[in-house]
Amino acid sequence: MGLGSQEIISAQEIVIKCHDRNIIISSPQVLKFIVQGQTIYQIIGGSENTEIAGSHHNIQEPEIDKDDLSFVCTQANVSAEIAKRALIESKGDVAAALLKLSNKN
Amino acid sequence: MENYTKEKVVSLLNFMYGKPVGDAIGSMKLNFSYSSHTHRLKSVCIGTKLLAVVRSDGYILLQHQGLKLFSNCADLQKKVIVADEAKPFVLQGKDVFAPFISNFVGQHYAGEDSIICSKEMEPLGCGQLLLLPSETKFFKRGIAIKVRFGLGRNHNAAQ
Repeated sequence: MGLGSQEIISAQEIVIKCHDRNIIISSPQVLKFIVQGQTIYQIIGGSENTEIAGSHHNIQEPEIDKDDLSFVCTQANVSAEIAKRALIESKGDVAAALLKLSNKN
Repeated sequence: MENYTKEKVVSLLNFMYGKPVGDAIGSMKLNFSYSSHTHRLKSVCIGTKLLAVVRSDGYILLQHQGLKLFSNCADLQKKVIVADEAKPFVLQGKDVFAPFISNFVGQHYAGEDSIICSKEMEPLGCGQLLLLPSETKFFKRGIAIKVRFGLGRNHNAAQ
């Protein structure tokens, strides 16, 4: 197999950040191998929890640029409040916000 | 006439850069400027913002202000993803070498204009592909994308 050196890492918690959720593995056993120049981590056991990304401490409202806000207001002919909501929903993406507003009209 | 031009611009941008680019630009209030001699479309603007220019062969090239609208857009359907090492250079408008291309999203051809993105899907600039996607895997040296502009440079002064 060509397995190289094996190392045991004492990890307390492992967080795998996915697009829509975070997988948290508490008190696992982690083994590190180096096989043909590549490092492989093997996670064994531990208790697994899943949380929705941005469910508690990750809540972050994207910063809305004033220029973007005024641009969306003028282009979509909507109030600043609606434009801001559209920008927040589209995570600051001007193009997506404009498309969303134009589809609503 | 204006509607026809708008539809043409939207379809061409969708064809060249992927679906959301043309549709998003099409949803804005655009100004078109025409050549006084040939009456052909020259550029697409929003107020004083230059979004795209028309090449002599009819294709439309996205400009700095145009790409900036998509600076937070993660779902561009056509893009070339470059390695993190190449990111600062692309932002400065420097060319991309073949080994630094990580991936191609969508169908690309040699010679076409493409949006260059980082691995975090953040647009970095625009440039002309010099190699086929399949060729870039085998090239260990040489320019793969001739970058027209990078988003790191301020182009407002030029306008």
